[in-house]
Amino acid sequence: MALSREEVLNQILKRLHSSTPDVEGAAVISMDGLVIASSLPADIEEDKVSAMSAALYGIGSRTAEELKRGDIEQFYIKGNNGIFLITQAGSDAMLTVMANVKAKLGIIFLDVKRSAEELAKAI
Amino acid sequence: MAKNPVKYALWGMLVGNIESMGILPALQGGEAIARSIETEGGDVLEKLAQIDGENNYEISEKGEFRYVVLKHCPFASVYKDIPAWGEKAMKLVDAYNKKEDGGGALHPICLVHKGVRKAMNAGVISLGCRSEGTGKIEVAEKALKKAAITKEEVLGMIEGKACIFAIKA
Repeated sequence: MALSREEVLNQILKRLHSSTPDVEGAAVISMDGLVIASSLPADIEEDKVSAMSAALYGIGSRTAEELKRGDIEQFYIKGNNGIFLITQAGSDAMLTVMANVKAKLGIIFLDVKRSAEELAKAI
Repeated sequence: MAKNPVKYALWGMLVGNIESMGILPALQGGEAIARSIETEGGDVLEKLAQIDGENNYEISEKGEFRYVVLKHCPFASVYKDIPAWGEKAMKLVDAYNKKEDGGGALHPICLVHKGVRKAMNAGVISLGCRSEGTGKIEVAEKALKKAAITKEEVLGMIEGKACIFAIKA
């Protein structure tokens, strides 16, 4: 039986989570800031992640536009406890990923890019 | 005709921020208001009444819930003589109304108002809003079951009034 769209999105997030153990959480968020699918740690509020992702994306897009950097593809925030990555997943959504401080950035960027492409097709 | 600068400043800040950052400024605005009315002790309704207005509540009880109807929208005067909210801000209101824990918003200021209730961390469940200007009603349908109330009951209680929310008695 064919999987529903929601199941496909959750499957992509689970695969990203399991293939890269340093990933602590991921969510697919609409441009309006609504959660489409998520796999987040229990102590992280889904609402906050979606609202903040949409806010960052909005400011980033505006910045890229004003400074003539073209269409936004990715955002990267590094704190001393880990990273927060927002990647465009098609024209209607973004993939938000949180990873711990030990994460190998090359692998994370590669896996996130692949997952974002899969999500864009599935959405 | 002269414009009201205070209304225009509020409108401009809210629309500008929403257009750049989505729902976050509305929620954070609500949190800031909630912090400003937080006082030690006191019932949550006493705290909320500081912005909702004195003698503006009609309260009924059913089962484990108190249902609170606001007779007048405390922000109604702001809505008069301001420019249109714009497509992006109203799209955000629509998106909020589709959220699992959202719904019942008519304008971007409703999002700030609901943000205040959420930030009180007192289990307030927003159930609906009615526009004083147009009579349009928006019910938070996904919240009805959680608040043990039907859509018909909400519509009956809000008719001729402004806003309704539930809180555990």
